[in-house]
Amino acid sequence: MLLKKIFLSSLISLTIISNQVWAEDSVFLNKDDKAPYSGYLLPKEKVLELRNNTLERDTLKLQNDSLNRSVTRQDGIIAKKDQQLTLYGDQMDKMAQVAYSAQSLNNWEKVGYVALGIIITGLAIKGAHDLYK
Amino acid sequence: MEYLIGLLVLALGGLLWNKKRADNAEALNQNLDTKNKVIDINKLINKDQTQLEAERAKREMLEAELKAKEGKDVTQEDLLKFLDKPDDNK
Repeated sequence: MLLKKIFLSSLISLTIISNQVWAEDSVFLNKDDKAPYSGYLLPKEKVLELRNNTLERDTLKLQNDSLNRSVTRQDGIIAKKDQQLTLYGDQMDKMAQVAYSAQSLNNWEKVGYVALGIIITGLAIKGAHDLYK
Repeated sequence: MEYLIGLLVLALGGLLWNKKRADNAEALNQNLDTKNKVIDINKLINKDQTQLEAERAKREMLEAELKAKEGKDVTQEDLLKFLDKPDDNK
């Protein structure tokens, strides 16, 4: 019985409170109008200012989010450019190695050609010598 | 004997020539590999640049929208709606 009473009184209180909240929506009042409930009265200019400030705040918030995303993207671009620089650096090292190896190979080629010349000349002399024998 | 020496010289020349060719081929492959990697990274950078442009356009659009909202004549209904639910007024 007691529980039922508590439940009913809670239900009635809640209904009254929610009606009151619903009733206290903003209303427009002309001068000398009777206020339907206690609250704050603002001149139209102040409400406009408040509205514009809120709009500006919301826009700035969205712009800030966008800027943060842009910063992340920029960081990504910088990281990728660094990666490209590393690749170029490695490639230059490899090319320098290849150039050095080609140069040393050229030296060996020169030695080879000189040796070939000596051998061919020797063979020719030997051949001529055999012919005159 | 002379033929053997000739063959030896030929074989040495052939080995040197083959090594040079293999080195050149390897260097060319490495070059191509690096070039492809750089091209792939460039594509990703271009994609990021496009996204950056999109974000910039979005910010400009938000700025223009704000100016339009601030500039338009606000009705009494707009203000009451704002006072009741300021977050719906974006």
